[in-house]
Amino acid sequence: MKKQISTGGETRLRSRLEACTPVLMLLPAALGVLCIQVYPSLRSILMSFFDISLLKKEQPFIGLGNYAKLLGDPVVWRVMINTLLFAALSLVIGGCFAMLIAVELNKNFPGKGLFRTIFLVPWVTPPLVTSMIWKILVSESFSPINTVLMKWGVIDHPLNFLGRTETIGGIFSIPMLVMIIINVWSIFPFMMVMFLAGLQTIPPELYEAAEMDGARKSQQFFYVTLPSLIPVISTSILLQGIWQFNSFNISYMVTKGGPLHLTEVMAVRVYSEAFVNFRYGLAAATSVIMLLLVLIPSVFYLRANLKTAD
Amino acid sequence: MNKRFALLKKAVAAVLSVGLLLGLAACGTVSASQTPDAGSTPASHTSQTSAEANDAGEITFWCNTYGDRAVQEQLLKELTEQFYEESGIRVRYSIIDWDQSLTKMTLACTGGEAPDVYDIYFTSSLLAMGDEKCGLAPIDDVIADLGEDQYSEAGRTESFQNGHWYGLPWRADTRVMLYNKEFFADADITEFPTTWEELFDAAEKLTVRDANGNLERSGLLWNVGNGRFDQTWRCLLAGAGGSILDETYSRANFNSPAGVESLGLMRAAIDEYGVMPATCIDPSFDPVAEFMAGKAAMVMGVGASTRQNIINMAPQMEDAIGAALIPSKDGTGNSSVASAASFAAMKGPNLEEAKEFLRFLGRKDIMTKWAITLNMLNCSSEIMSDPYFSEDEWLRVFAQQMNRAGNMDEPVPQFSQIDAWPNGPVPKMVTDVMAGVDVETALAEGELAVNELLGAG
Amino acid sequence: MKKQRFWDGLRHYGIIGLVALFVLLPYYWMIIMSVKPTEEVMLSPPTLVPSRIVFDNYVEVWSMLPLLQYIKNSLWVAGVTTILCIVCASLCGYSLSRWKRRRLQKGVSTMILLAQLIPGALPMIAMYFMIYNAGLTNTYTGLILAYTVWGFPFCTLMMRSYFSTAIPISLEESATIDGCSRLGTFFRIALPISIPGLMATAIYSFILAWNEFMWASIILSDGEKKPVSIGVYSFVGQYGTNTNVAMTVTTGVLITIPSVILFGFLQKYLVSGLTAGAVKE
Repeated sequence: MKKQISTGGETRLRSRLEACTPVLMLLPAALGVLCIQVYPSLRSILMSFFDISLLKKEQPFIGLGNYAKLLGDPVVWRVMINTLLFAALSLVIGGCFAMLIAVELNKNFPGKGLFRTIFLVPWVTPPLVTSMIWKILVSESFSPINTVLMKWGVIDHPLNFLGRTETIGGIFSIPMLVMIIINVWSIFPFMMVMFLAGLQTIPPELYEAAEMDGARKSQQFFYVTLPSLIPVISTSILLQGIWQFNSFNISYMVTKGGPLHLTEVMAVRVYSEAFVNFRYGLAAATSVIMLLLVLIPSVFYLRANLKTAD
Repeated sequence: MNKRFALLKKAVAAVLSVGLLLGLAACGTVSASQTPDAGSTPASHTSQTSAEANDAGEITFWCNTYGDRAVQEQLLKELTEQFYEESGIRVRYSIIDWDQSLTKMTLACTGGEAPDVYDIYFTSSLLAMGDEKCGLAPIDDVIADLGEDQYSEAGRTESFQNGHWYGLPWRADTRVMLYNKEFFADADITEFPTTWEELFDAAEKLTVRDANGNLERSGLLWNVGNGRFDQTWRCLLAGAGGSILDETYSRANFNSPAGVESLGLMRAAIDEYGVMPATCIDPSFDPVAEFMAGKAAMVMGVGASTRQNIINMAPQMEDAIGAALIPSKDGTGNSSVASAASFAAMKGPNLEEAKEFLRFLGRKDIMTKWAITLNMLNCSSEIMSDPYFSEDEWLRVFAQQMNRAGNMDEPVPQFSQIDAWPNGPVPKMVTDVMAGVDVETALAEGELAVNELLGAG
Repeated sequence: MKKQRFWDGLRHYGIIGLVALFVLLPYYWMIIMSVKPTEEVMLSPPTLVPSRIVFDNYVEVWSMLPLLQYIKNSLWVAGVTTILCIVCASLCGYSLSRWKRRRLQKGVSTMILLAQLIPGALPMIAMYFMIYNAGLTNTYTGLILAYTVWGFPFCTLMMRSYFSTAIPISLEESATIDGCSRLGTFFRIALPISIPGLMATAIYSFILAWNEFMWASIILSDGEKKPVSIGVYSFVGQYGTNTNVAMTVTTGVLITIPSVILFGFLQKYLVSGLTAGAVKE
């Protein structure tokens, strides 16, 4: 009798635990994000409405004052445009580049594993090392690229890459292009892996059918490969887009945003406002603007995601 | 069946890799768990001379990176051991990377993790940040014991604020001319220029171009790191008799004839004299590296550690290295700027021990050893009178230049913002001019921004 | 036909070769600079092949920096981060994929996605003081906590789609009928099948923790605790300039080698793990 009761209690406990399992499974992760990311971010958003500078004792509420100050500064606009340009072009060039390699690496050929490893190496190279070596590679006096070009007789004097301040349409410049190339170098492996994985999920029958219909290789790519990859492409483009928009390393470590703010991006701005100029209010406001800018494409992402979840 | 087997294989491989990972991590665990366990006495960090008896507490000391890391590490080890023997106080030291040095200082003075003794600069800014519980502590008694008269003007400006000493001034920094002796001999220039006019005459003679007119060797380069020109401009501004702020430190003072002339000269070196390339605004451009490659005859505004860096990186240049005083506009008066940095004690429970350590560091024998080992100029005249500084051909020039140098850092809290790199108004103004913005516009913008920071509208 | 195949092959190797050139150029140059005799490093224009090969830089860097210690530290931090990441991400991802219609799950889903949008520098200061007040500055725990939270949203997304596509529900249903609890089903059925997916997320979070340098540099002050990613900081001078290019480059080579070796072993699982599920979304 006694035994039966206790089993009953145990069962009830078990079933209650069972019912709670889905929530319990979420807990560690959700708590972590809430405490370490969401809460500090909310505090920072609050900070953006105050005039907070470490060098001043008073920290008055100034409403949208920080935002007005930022949007009235032409440099901030230029930095915003730089950021969008940097993210968009890195994404497009990096994406095409990654796709090209993924298609080639998806074929069977001797040395496949080796090349896969080689092409993944930029991803595991610490960013400090990446920027340090690229800074040498694009310098005027110490770049081997210049030596080679001079040996071939293409140029008679070393080329300069990061000192050119002339712009196309006031926004695009050679230093920016160099930043994008360096960035593509370091981000393409991740996209390549995503695409490669996607390519491997395409059933070979699809190609066979296309070949039967007389489709050429290029047609096969556009009518079979690309459509099958759309889910992969959209996920990685959106994630990469967000990451590149928030990108800090290359701009900060190779040029510190110079010359003339040509390569400065918003993440660097936030960093230098907060940690160099001690103006936390302005830094917070800048990052809120970033958040708002990146929210627009992300809403599409979110909606698509919630749809697939349903 | 086959599929299951493949899966099994994968699973085994995966487990193995995770195992490998854990194994590797475990190697890390040993070291990781050792550090906190042995918390107070990790091997190379504290003096372990005698575990018994006279333990009079432990303090932490954060120092920035100077010169060769191994040398600095060894020096810190020796000094902290000696201090432990004398006082019984253990010192845990850390060498801080320059890249995060300002961030760490800021956090330490606003309630974050702080050491007991800290190697700092921007004293007045840090003072403005602290409150009753955190930040810099006054150390008037320590300085009184050591004798305050020995410290240079720059050291005093840096550390003596609102009637109190907030640091033990030690590191002195000033800028001189670096030149290639061989190029000078080839061009038959025997006397180093002392005025701006002579400087550009010499620079033009030393400039070499190829058949197409491309610069092969620059006669003169402004020293610049990561595209930051303002510190060299400050030498020119001093050379023209100008200053950044007015005498009451309340308004910008550089939109003046001296400002126009010195800033104009920065750009004229490219446009008018053609002695340096326009591409020097390239963030990867390093004048000292150009010097090492034999592509520059003179570099204006190098610091004392430059010689050692050249010898380390390009030993073949050792005999060509020459140092000279920076020319001023008319050959007299100031022609450079000097700044200082100090060891400060931070508010906290270990303040007395921290002061004890400062007394130790400021002692003549200790400070001399410190300065000579790290090859750094010092704020104390007693240290600088050591033959090491007065007889060395390179360092002697710095000692002389020190007497002809104005203040690099103005004693106002906002100076760190005015001087902030890359977006502070002064560095931005000078870089703009080097990139082709006209002098009047840049000066007007810079003045406005500085006055705004100072609250002088 | 034969001619066509020849051209295809040429094109294929041409593309691979050119890309390999682009990818390897920085490494080639790092290695060349690190083995050049010192008097040759600062020549301009630089020589493409060193006149003789010397390993002095390696000897010197090795004796000067405790690189092995750094590597161990990094392995420890990245290893623990990885384990925490995959535990949290697989639990969370499983819950999100199996009970996706519930309100809580939807909310968490959105929160995790939104967390991806937050610029890194925004919560930095508030986060520093949280970590400091918890007494976790200058500890690996402070590092690991932050890395785990940064890394696991993407891991969760990967695991979620992995669980919802790669594992047949019928398999789990039969397990439930056999009397397995929900947690039991997760551990006995779902987890073992998804090991390739786990490997992929593991590698992602490992690299994230291995490469991070700013947070590490801010919260750590003990030299002995440094991770390998900030090793080259040792040669950065006061004004942000490099005080010894050859040694910096040598350090760069030395700290890249372990990750390349590790990656050479693991790259297979990354691709297969992603293939099996994560990107089908």
